[in-house]
Amino acid sequence: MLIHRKAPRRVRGNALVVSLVVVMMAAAMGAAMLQMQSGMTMRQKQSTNTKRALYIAEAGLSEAYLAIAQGKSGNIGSADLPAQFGDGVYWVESHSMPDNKIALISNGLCGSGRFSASIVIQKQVNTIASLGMFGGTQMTVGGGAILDGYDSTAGTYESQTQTIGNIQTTGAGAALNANSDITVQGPAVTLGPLRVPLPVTNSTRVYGDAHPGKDKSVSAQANTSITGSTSPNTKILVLPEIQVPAMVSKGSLVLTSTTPVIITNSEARYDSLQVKANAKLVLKGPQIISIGTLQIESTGKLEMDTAGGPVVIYVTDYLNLKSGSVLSSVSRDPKNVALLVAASVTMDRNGDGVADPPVTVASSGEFFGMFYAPYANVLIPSTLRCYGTLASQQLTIGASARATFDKGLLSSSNTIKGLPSMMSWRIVEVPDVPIARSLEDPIVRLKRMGVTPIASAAASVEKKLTITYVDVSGAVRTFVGDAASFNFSSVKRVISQAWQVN
Amino acid sequence: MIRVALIFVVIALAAAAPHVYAQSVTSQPASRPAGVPATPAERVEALRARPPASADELALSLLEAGEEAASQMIQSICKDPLRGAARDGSGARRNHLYQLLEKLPASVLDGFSRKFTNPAQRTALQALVLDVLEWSGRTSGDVLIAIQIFGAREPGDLEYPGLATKFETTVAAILRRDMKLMEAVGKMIAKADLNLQFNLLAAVGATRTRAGSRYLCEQLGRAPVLDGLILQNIGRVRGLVPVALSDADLLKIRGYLNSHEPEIRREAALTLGRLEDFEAVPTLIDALDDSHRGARENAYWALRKISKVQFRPDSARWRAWYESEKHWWESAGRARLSQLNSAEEPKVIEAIKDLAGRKLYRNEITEALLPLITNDRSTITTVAYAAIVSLQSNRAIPGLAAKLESGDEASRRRAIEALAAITGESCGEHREDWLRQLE
Repeated sequence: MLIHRKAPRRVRGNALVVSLVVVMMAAAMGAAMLQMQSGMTMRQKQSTNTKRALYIAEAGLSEAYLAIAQGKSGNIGSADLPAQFGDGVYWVESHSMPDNKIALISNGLCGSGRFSASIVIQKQVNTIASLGMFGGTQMTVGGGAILDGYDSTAGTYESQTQTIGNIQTTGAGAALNANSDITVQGPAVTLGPLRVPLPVTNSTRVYGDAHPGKDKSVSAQANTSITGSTSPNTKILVLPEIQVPAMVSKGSLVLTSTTPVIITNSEARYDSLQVKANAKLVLKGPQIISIGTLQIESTGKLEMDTAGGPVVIYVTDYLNLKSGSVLSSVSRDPKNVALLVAASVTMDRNGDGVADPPVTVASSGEFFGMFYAPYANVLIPSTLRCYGTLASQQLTIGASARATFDKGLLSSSNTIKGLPSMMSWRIVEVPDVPIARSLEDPIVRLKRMGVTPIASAAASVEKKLTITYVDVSGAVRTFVGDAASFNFSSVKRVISQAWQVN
Repeated sequence: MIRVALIFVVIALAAAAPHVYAQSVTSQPASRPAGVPATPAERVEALRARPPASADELALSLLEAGEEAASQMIQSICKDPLRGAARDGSGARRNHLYQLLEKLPASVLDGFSRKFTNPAQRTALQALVLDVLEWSGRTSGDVLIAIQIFGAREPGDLEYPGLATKFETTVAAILRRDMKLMEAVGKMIAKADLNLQFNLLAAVGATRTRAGSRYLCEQLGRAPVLDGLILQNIGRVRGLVPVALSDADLLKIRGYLNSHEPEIRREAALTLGRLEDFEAVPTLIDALDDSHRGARENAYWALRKISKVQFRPDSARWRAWYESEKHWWESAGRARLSQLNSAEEPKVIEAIKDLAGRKLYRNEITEALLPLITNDRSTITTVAYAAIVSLQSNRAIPGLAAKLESGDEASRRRAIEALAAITGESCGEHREDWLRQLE
């Protein structure tokens, strides 16, 4: 027989409560887990966005690096009008530093992620100009020579000189470099009645720096003066190779007439070019000319007319500027002339049984430009006044010669220019600007404000391009205008280019 | 009998034939078109074939041959006078030429007062004789002749700087052959006038020897006008390690950092860098604020050379680093060095890692680390190698060079890599080659 008993009054209905409590606990735990999961997801998303912002900032640095390699400032976009890259945006600020360095700060934004990184890069200047007055295995300054420097971008040489002692000079700016010792000779001294040297009035003066090679030194004789630093270079300076452009030869050319011969072809190659006595050759820019052997006889003249554009001369086999020949330049701007001599072989060229060196410079007159002969020994005579840079395997600035280094060539785009090199990288604080402060997706925010971000490749602030180039048909052309409207595929060779904001 | 005599004659003729042939070949001048002058090389060849009878004639012939050709001939004869004693007689001619070259300086010097009165000819002869002495001079007598030749000038003569350079090179070459001549040369310097002192001191500097540097140091301050030249030359030595000077000498050089003349301050800074004078670091840091740019830049170079640290030329930054290094050395440095002897590997490694970044005391630290390098591949050895390379101290060279004699190829390889990384040089795989760089 079953006996049904009623549950005690005090526990009646407890199962429901218990089950309610359990359900509530389960619900709470579920909510908590949901909350946790949601938090984790948000953090994960934030982390992902931050990482993406990092990559976008890195992309900005790459874009800015490329811009600097092209000669631009490195400024890309701005906080108000950034560049778009993928799902995010960035902008890069460029700040000039001493010693030709640039600091780039790139700010990347993606979703709610924000990241800023900075690099310092060493702007690579015109590689040849950066050598200054350079001798690879030997650098000698002859007695009584005077070396100084100026900046052609700031005006003419004469506008930057002062009277020091008995000469007009800038008093600073010389840049001697070598991979060897540098020898600075004193002037020739006349012996007086008692066989004692008489005082000199023409001491050798280097108004600037003389940096010998790594672990080498400067040897300065009596009656010499160097006003700047004499510390050795910290590394071996490498002479860049000369890459002579391939051109179809027009054969040989011998100038004998006293009527000046003007070469205006944009590109020309001559196996041999000889300027005889009293003849005159004018090279009119813009021009790139390649010559096998170039000889200027005594009283022959070579003039660079760079009023229309730069002149770049390649000499591949033999350069002989004989004593009595004359060099001159119309515009007197070193940036517009480059004489690049790849000649290296010493051999008898004229059948007299005496081997001739590949380069002889015995001209008078003035040379404005870059003279570069990395495989030859060069002596600069006192009759030739040089402005610009001189670099060769062995360089001797002759007794009583004058040579002036042009600092303005460092930024010249003529000839060989190296790539910038990265010095350091670091994370920096995200700037306190509205678009970065707000955690809103930047693209959404910009759209709401009616701003369309610029495409990354077109985001450099410099838009205006001035370019002189040789087009595919061989003609020299100049373009000035918006880079976006320029057809780069029509360019065979760039002679010079410059960028401006507007 | 007749047959025997004939046989003897034939044999004699056969023996003499090569001589006769060689004479005929070398005696005949190369044929050249009429009116075209002989090249310098041809003149020298003719000289070799028919040496002149006297030193004076030799001098004039060499002048005619031209500077470059004469110089080459002098070098080739003086470098090895007895080479080529061939049956053709060229060896005998070569010997004869060498003997004439030995007599040439005295003969020319004597001739200056008698025969060679043309100034241009005199200058050319001076250069010629100095060339001969450069390649053959060995005694203090040769140095004296070089001085006399260099000084053989008349009022109104032009003294070309190239001749001074040649004189300095000649005296340096003679000294390098026997540095014991330094004492005799020192006496000559003491008696010479100021101009000659300049040239002789430059010659001593051009020897690039440690003895030369020490001698130059002794001359500092004796004639203030020469101090710039002396400072320029102190410390310019061959080899991988700087010359070691006494504390007193280093103190003297440091004093020049306070000179009134900016070019002296500039050269003093450079010298201290070459000498790697650690005690000069505070003074060099002050020199970073010098009013003369050359002095500032040279001080900056010296600091980087001594410390192997690459800060910017900011005196505050350098000063902070220096103070921090000094404080560390005084408070924890020695304890860390003692920790290297601990039996517990983690402690040793921790000590090595801390010591590896202390560039100011790298010499002492390197010497303490060297014993930890054994031939095994333990972690301590690996970390010690890395630390020694990081410290860049030349004191590591003897210890690492000793490893080149290890029987273990891996140890040898490691040592070579470490030596190359520290010195930036590649001196081969033999201990002696590296130790030679320390001389």
